[in-house]
Amino acid sequence: MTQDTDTGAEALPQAVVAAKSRFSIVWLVPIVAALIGAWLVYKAVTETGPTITIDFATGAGLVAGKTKIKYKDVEIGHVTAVEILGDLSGVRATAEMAPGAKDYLTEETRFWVVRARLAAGEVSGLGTLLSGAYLAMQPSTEGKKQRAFVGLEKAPVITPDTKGTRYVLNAEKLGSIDIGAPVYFRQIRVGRVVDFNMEPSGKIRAEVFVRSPHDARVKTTTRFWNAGGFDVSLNAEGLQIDSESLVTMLVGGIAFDTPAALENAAHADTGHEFHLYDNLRASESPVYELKRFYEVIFEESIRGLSIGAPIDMLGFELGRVAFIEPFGDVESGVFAVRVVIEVQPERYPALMSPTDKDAETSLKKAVAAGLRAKLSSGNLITGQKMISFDFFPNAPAAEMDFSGEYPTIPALPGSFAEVAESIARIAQQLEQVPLQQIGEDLGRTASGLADLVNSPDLEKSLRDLSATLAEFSEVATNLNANVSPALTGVIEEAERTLGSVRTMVDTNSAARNETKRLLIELTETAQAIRMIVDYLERHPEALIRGKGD
Amino acid sequence: MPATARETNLLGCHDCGLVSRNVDGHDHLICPRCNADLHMRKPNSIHRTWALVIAACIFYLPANLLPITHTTSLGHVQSDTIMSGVLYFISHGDWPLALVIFTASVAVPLLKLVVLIFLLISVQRKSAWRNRDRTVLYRFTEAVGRWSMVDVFVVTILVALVKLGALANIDAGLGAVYFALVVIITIFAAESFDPRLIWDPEEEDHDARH
Repeated sequence: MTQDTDTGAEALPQAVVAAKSRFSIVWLVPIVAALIGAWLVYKAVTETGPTITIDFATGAGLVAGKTKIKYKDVEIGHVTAVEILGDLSGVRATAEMAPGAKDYLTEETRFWVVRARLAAGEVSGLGTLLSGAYLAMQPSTEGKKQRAFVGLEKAPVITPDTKGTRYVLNAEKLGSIDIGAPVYFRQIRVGRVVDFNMEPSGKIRAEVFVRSPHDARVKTTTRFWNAGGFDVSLNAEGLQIDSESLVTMLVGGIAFDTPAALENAAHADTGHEFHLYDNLRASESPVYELKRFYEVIFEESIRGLSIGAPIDMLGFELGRVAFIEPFGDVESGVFAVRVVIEVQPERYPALMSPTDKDAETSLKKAVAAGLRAKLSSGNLITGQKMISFDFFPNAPAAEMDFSGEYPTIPALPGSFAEVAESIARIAQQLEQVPLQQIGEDLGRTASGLADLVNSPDLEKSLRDLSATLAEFSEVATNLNANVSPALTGVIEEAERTLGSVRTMVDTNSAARNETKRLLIELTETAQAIRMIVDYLERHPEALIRGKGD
Repeated sequence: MPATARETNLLGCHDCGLVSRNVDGHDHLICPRCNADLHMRKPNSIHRTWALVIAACIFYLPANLLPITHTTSLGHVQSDTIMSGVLYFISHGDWPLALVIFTASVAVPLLKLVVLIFLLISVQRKSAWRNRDRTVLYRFTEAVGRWSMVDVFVVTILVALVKLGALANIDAGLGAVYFALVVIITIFAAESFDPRLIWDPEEEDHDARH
């Protein structure tokens, strides 16, 4: 067609053969595939989170590829490998985290293994029985970012994001408290025991966590007590058994409350220290924080005095015996016992000023006035002794000795005390005897006697007496002569009467038979009465209703 | 030397078998008897095959990297890719089963893609190297491709059968979808390749010698 250019059509433009589109619709398939592939790659890159390592002491429950890492029960990663550390000191778990976890992996972040736990009255992590243990994470945004962690060996009881306040309890002994044990306020569970440890001094220091808003109930005057087990008390109202709950009976726990009178105290801040009482009753008794130590030296046997024995004044407890030790040797020739007593001055502020400044002056004054310590019987049955303070104004003068470890309060020997006491008793009784009156009465009697002896009446009386006696002798002689025959008649008469009586009471006499029958009748009557009484006793209503069948 | 259809400028109908003369300069021809499309060679065969092979290659990666099953047993979820399944069976001593899965799911799709790429390149370079063997290779590729669907069916059946709640449960993973796509796309790719292209260079040589 285009070869022939001689015609007039040569001026016409030549048609262009359109290049056939080489693009086929089928190329969409690989393009779509490429897009999907690119998207998958993008997703894989963006969704791959950081890889971290966590060191544990043991690999119990950690399975590579299976163990999950969870926060608030949501999976945020998984363990990809578990291997033994080079120095064999533990295991290292390598974990792949979700990309979102990147910002929460700092030096403050904690990891621990969650296993099924049956403790403190609750069952937790039951799901791990089926699915195996998992790692729990406590994220934190504070501190430097890091990728290598050391796992906690025991799970924290309270996660830091729980609102509430931590308090410190000081206790003499731990009782039945364990980590995780419940804390109750009016029998509502409001917190838990977070931790406990022993101070260098040997005291127990427990940390409790009280959840918000209940922590607002904790005032500086609040009292915490050990609510474990149950409390049995026998008093005038009868037997009383108290327990916070069944759970505390089994696993122990702590309860707190604020005495109504002290409700207005300030709110206790985090870390406020409280005393942990042994039980509710102990918490209700007044608190004497102040303690002072004194010494008492006894140069006699203290048999029956034991550590913890009460210090008593006027029957009122002031403290306890803290320590007993003998001292002295042959050279010094002194053998005595040193008793250290722990006194709570607040119990008797007038005697022992609670303020440190006047502490010793008031006591010194009391000693000068005759205050002495002495051994006395606390319990007559067991022979337990106690130390009692008393005033003996007549006791040998003594002073407080400040040279020892503790100030010494002078003691009164037990024997002297006893003697002094008995003398006092005798003197007291003697005082009651009305000696003056007795003397007066005696004087009067003596003078009366003298009057009587010296009077002329007495002589006359004696003379009369002698005449009377002569007359009496005469009467007796007459009696002998006249009365004897008459008396013989009387005796014969009596013999006769007795004979007739004998015949009356003879076996076959009528009178005797009658009497016998009468007695039998009386016996029967008595029996009948007894039956009626018995019946009435059993059926008192018979009095009204008559005898039933 | 026997003549080929193209040499005699004749077209055979794939549907009714009628042989008709070619009309030069026109692409779109139809059979005068049954109206089926007629063509000397499959249109755009090489481009189409290339496109599908590339798509299959792209999908082959996620098919093998992503898990094809999520097995939940007693609250514990385990995800398996094709290779991890094979390794699982090997570690449990089930060599035959591992071999079947490996052959059907890993080796065959890979082999198909490699064979198709080899055929495409050799055809584009108008290679005349061992035409007969290359044709056998193509027939083998076409025949064996569909068996890769076994893996997809196994996953489908497992997902349907194992539904025991928390006790045991199997879910299909995304990998299964990509794997099915690889198998289907390679089947189409093999279908769109025209094996006659393998023999065309020989004809042209023949023409040139005349």
